[in-house]
Amino acid sequence: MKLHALLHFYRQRVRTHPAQELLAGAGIAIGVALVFAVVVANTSITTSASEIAHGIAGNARLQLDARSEHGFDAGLLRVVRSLPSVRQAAGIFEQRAILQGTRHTTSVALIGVDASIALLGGPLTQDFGSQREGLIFRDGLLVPSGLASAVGLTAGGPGEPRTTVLRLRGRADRVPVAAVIGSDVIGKLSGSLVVVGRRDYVNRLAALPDRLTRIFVVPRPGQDEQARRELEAMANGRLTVAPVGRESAILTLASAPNDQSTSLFAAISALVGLLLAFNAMLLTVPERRRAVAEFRTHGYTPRQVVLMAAFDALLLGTVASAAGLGVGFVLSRTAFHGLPTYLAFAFPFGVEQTVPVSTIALCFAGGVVATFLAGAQPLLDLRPDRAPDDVYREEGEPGQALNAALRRRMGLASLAMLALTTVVVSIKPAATILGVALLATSMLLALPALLDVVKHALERVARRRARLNMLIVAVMAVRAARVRAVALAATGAVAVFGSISIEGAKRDLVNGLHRSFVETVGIADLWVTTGGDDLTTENFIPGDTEARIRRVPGVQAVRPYYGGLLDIGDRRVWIVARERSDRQMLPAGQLDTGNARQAATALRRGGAVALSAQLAAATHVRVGDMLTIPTPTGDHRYRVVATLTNLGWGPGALIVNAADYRRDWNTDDPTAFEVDVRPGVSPAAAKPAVQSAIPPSVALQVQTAAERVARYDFLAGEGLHRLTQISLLLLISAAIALAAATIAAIWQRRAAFLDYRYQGYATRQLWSALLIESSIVLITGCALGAAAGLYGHLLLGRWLRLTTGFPAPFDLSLLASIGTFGIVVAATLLAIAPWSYRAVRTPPGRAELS
Amino acid sequence: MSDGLELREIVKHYRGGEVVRAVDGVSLGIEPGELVALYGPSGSGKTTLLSIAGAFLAPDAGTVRFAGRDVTAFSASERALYQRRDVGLVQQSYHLSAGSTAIDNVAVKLLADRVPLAEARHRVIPWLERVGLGERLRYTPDRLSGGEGQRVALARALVNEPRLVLADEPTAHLDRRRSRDMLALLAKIAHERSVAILVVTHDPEAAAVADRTHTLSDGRLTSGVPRDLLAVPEGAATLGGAQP
Ligand SMILES: Nc1ncnc2c1ncn2[C@@H]1O[C@H](COP(=O)(O)OP(=O)(O)OP(=O)(O)O)[C@@H](O)[C@H]1O
Ligand SMILES: [Mg+2]
Repeated sequence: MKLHALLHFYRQRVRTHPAQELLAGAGIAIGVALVFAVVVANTSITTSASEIAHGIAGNARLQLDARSEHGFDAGLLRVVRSLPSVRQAAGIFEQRAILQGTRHTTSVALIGVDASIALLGGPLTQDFGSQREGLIFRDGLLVPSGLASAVGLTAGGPGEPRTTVLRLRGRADRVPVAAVIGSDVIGKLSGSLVVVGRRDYVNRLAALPDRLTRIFVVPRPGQDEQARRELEAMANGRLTVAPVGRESAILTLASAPNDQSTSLFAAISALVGLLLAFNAMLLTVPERRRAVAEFRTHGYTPRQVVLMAAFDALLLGTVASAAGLGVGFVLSRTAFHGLPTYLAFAFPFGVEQTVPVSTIALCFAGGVVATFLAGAQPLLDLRPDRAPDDVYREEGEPGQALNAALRRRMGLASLAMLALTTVVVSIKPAATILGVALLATSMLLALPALLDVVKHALERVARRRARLNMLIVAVMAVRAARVRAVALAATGAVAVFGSISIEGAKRDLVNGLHRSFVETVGIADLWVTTGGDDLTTENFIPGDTEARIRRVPGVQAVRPYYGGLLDIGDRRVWIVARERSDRQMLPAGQLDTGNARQAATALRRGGAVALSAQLAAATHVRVGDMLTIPTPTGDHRYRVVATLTNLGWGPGALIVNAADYRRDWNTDDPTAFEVDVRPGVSPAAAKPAVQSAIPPSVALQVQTAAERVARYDFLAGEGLHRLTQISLLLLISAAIALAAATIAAIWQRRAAFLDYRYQGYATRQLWSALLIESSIVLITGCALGAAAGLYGHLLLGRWLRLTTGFPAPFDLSLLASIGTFGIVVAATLLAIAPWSYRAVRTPPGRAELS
Repeated sequence: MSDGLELREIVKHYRGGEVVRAVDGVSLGIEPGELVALYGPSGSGKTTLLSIAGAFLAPDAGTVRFAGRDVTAFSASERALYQRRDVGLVQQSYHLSAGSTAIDNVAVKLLADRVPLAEARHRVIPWLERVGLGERLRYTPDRLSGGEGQRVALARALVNEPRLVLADEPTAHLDRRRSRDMLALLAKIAHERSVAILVVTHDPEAAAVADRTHTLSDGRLTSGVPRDLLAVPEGAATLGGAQP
């Protein structure tokens, strides 16, 4: 067949059935867009983090890490360089800091380097030895251009450098910006949240002179193992020796629970998108089968028919997938944009989004293949044992048949699949993605049989009641086009299912996180912190702040609070250290195993630790066992007294008593003050007094517990907000697809409506029959979707708790589910109503001509 | 004033590019108990006239009266009532609801008039038997032959026991014997139940059972059977019933 002939037939198709073609295309595009947006939003985080790590470390293969932000003596670098198997070594001093610009305030990684860093050859720092020498030896910061424009720098006077405010360790300094580095020098890293300065200058800003936090080591060729041993010996259990690239490994693990949950939801969205595309194509199947029969009776060979179908699918798939990629790109830029901030403070992320070509190619190919698969069904009519026009001899409207035996078999398969889902997921919670896919399939298989049951039941109810005659007419219409009814019901079912299960699990997670925040933050009335968007891990020099606050009228008690991040294995663990005098040593509501009261007593006594269940599993300890914690003063053993949820921090958390922390971490620098107010004094009223007691030279921020919880809720919600967007998108696209498909089908049936009018049916009767018909299909589909969605929610929630360790107590939330169901049904019916009214009123001539 | 159907000076022109004078001043009366056969070449306006009689189409000029009432002046609801109570219509291209049985397809007519389904099914069965489909009661349209489907449509037109039957080529898909049976059935209904029946047909047999025959050509009505039909030998043999 010639190309122009293929094109001619395709044009003809599109001209005669524009609605179906559009619908099929829209279904595929929506599927591709969903998958693409979610995949992009996920990969870009990890990609940019590993690029930053490589940008600094260059050729280094080993690193020596401090176990706290206080670092170690810079003199150690000379010792490392003198080790026999070390060829090159360079040290950096890294601190978490806050960049307070004119437009925006953000957490950044502040990295102090000296010229020797250039020896490592990292793309980010290789120039520091040569051209940038001038810059690096001035006081001031090098700021990537993306970051600079995001936060907004303050212009300097004539001949003066620009400045910005840097908040570090409880101090706020206006610092000069030595240079803004653009993408011409550091490429994509120009968008990273990293600020660089001369090492001794950064030491001075942090008031930690002559300290380093990390030494990068390039071993002599072939001597990695020796170098590692020599470093270990030197570290003496107080520093951690690790391969370079561990940073990205840690990030991968840190974001894993988050990634896992988003990928699970992404997988579900992909599934839903795919099913939507399939349903859209299913709607066109009868018409495509008739076209195949038509061509066959006119003497076209099966080969030619296959060629035409393949050509159609290729064209439709290409256009739809391209449109889907476009929409997905816009979505990932807007709706899904924004980093999961609750990770940002522990890792120097980029603000640039990187979209690997492979992702684009994969999504595109996926869309085209899905179109082929979905469009292949009519080709089954080419089987040699079938007459070319068999489609016209089937029950119902041509191509709409689904015989009774098949419907029954599908129903049985559905039940079997439901049972299988339950078994698989209860044995292996990790197989939840598979379980949810099985559940969705089982739901779809149940639809034909369920529609039969509904039709039968409705007919029984209506057959002796003349008032319900239009219900009978509606049931007859549903029966006349089974494939269409199933496809429409399935679209509604899939959308409601996806939306309810995703939203339900998300709501559980948001509620669980909120409760966890309330428990961890609610132990004090006011919090005095550095004000970073963090889990209270940025330490500061306390000075006499504690005494000043204590003297504020209305203040009853002030306690230092210590927090931090510590790498245990490949996990960046959140450390929480509390004073004995705290109201609550551990959040009892987050308990997994152990006894809350005994655990609290043990923690107060000291030498005890409560830790996240996932962390306990990773370190192979249980309640009663001893856990070795790699602290800055060496490895120390703590007794495990309880296991907890992850307290909202993916890699896990551990709680110790403040006295133990001060001793083993060898620091008195708190990360917060917890302030209790006297009975009768409101925290909000005490807040300004406490704030004004803090000297202006100390950059500390006072928040009420409620404000702090709200901030955490916001940070956690930001990442989870994506899920709401996904499910909202699902609902909207499904309602549009449903309405469009139904309207297209109704429009085609105008001749049939006219026939009813010839039988003496009034417009009003026909209209109500038509709306009832749509309602039967929609309500059956969406109700099944809601039921399956609730089960899916249960499975997802269980998976969240068991696999990720996030606090996510199951909450049925029937009302929200009914709301989702109601919205889809109501929105679709509302869209259909005026069109169906027009359709049933079509005057004779016009409908007959069409 | 007649108790049957009275068409007076009916005019219907279709406009769209050039004007088609589908019906051009036709007057025709059919008394209760009378079967009238309407002949005419394709495109002569037969279906158009029938649609006007059934109030499915409004004429440009002229009046339609049934049982003394002016059908052309009916409101939409009066029209629907007229169509479901008084009229039984067999369309040229009838439509049956796929997936539903012959019984339910015929019952559709009664459902419109608020007869409960259970009762409607009872009332349908004798009519299906009368058109010779007693063995096919629960067949769905895909399993019915073309002629069987047409007879379902005929049963549907008769089941509400209308006072006016408008049938547009009801025997087009039937063999000679069946065709004669169906026309005889219509004649019997007309005579026994005092129903006014207008049958559009190309079938020479119709002239044999009809009380009167007319021919429509180019929108104008003449009495009698068209000449070319007379040329058909079998048709000619049965023309005795026709009144010139
Ligand atoms: N809706 C319409 N718009 C324009 N012209 C029409 C319309 N319906 C019918 N016509 C024209 O009016 C004329 C009469 O049509 P009608 O259907 O009444 O013919 P008919 O006698 O029933 O023909 P047949 O025996 O082929 O069924 C035809 O020329 C037809 O093309
Ligand atoms: Mg006609």
